[in-house]
Amino acid sequence: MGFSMLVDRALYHGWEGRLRPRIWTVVTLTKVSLAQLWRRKSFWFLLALGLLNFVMYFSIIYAVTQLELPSRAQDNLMSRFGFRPDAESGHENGYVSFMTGQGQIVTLLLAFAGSLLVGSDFRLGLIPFYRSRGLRVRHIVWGKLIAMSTIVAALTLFPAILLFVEYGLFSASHDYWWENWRILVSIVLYGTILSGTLAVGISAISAYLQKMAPIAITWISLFVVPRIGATQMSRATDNRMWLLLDPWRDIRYAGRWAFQTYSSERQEMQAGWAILILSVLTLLGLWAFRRKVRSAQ
Amino acid sequence: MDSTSLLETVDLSHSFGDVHALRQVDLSLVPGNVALLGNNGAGKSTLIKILLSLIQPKQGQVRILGHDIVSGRNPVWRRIGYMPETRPLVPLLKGYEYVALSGELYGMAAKSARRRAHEILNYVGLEELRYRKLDEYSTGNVQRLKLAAALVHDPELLILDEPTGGLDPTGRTRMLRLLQDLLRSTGKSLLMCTHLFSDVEDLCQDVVILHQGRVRFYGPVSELRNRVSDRYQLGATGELDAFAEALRQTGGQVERGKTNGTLYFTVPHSWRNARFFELAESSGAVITSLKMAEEDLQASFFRLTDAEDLPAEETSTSQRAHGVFHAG
Repeated sequence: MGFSMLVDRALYHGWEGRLRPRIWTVVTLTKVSLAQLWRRKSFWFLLALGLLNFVMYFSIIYAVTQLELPSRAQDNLMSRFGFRPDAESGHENGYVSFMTGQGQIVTLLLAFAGSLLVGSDFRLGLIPFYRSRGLRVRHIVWGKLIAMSTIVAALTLFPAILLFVEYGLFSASHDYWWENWRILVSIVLYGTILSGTLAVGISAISAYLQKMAPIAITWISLFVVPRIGATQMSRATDNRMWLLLDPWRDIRYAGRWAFQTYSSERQEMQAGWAILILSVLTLLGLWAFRRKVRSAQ
Repeated sequence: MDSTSLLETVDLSHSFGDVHALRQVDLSLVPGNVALLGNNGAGKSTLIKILLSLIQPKQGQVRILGHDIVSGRNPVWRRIGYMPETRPLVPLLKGYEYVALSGELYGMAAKSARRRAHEILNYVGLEELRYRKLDEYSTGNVQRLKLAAALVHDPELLILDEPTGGLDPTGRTRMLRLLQDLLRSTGKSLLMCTHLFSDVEDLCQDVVILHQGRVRFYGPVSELRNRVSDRYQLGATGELDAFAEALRQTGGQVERGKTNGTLYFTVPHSWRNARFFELAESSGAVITSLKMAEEDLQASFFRLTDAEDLPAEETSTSQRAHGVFHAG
């Protein structure tokens, strides 16, 4: 069939419809970014790996609330994972421990997602493509950050909420929901801190480095190198404040702040500093990411 | 400024550091099909970026489809469809998803964008490839896909950057036929950046030639072609340098041909051909041949954009290939 016949056969039709406000493009970008990720098999592998920890916590909660274990075994099991021995509600430290633990597999997942969702936008000239459709810098930045945050939340915040709900469903009384609503608020707060800081960090790094290998090396180094330095400095000076140089420890301290689980005044002070450091790092990352998007013409 | 014009610029200037990309560009384009021609660095891309609000001009005013885009308050981008020269393909998406994404980014609702994507892919002849992943598309199909992504929201103005770039002759013909059909049947306006003069002749009525950030020519393509009537090819012997200098003194433009003894002369206003012989005699040269220079659109372009800026070999090769230089 000749091409001219093709054109004649399929005549052009106009389109008449209302166009939505530009803010909707944030949703579009988030949706497409997540769809891209879901089409990668390696994403499902890392997701499954990340959810193993969730399955373990889920099973433990089930075991201690539904099975008649010897009380000593039950106490040991619960305290090992940070939960309160009485098993009536999830102790806050359990959630901090679970979410921080999940965050470590999330960093691996983000190293992979960063190059696909943000790096490729710069590498393949997609930023000018988005902007030529009328998107402002803020729409692109928010669209990408929400997509990244959703990935983090899928492995940290959402499973933690499920664990909280599991406790509630297995508890003997409906009072559980009223007595422990603060835990839910803390889970959401900590999940937001975790998602926000990690999403901004990986987005900023991916915008500048763009390819997977340098992104992964830099991103993982950010959590390994400062940890070694912070530990060494802390030992050498006998001052635990040096530990705040470790971003991963800061995230853990931020969890204590969100759940208000301090065992000493020093821990409270460290949590305050950790929040400050994370806020500054997040703002710097946001500035750098925005600047890079703006400069991509 | 006229609110019914396609594009209007007044004193438009932009620079990147010390590099002046656009210098006091004044344009007033009427709706229709306009080609934007210029060498690399002429300012075409900068002008397009300004039109798409990707950058803000340092100076001047710009109205596109009657909207002031410098103020940035009018949603004019919704009336424009842009097809870039590059391949901004979103990894892992399928053809129809890419076009629907473009529609959603323009502001269409998701369902509506998907339906329209299928329709427009059918129109550009990609209906059988619409469920394929983007990395499986050939260059020709990518060009048509990008066109579909620009057309999805049914814009009034299409800005196409090298629509036939990288295509083989068959692909190029297909794309040109498609565009001809589209422009003829819909009455949309076109602003097309290209390096291919035959594309200009096939699609556009008007042409803007930019050179070093300035407008060198704006008018109908036919007018550009008619300019050849003031250009002569001369064969001469004797004191050729003195003859060339004498011609230059009259205010015309003299160019040396590649072949020894050949000159090209663009005559000044109210020229008499008898002057050729008078000047030759007075400068000690003998004219052996005199004829109108054959020149096509490309040669006119080279002349307007100072082809002598090019390296000698490049100039002579490209111009000879298009009939400017003839062994005299």
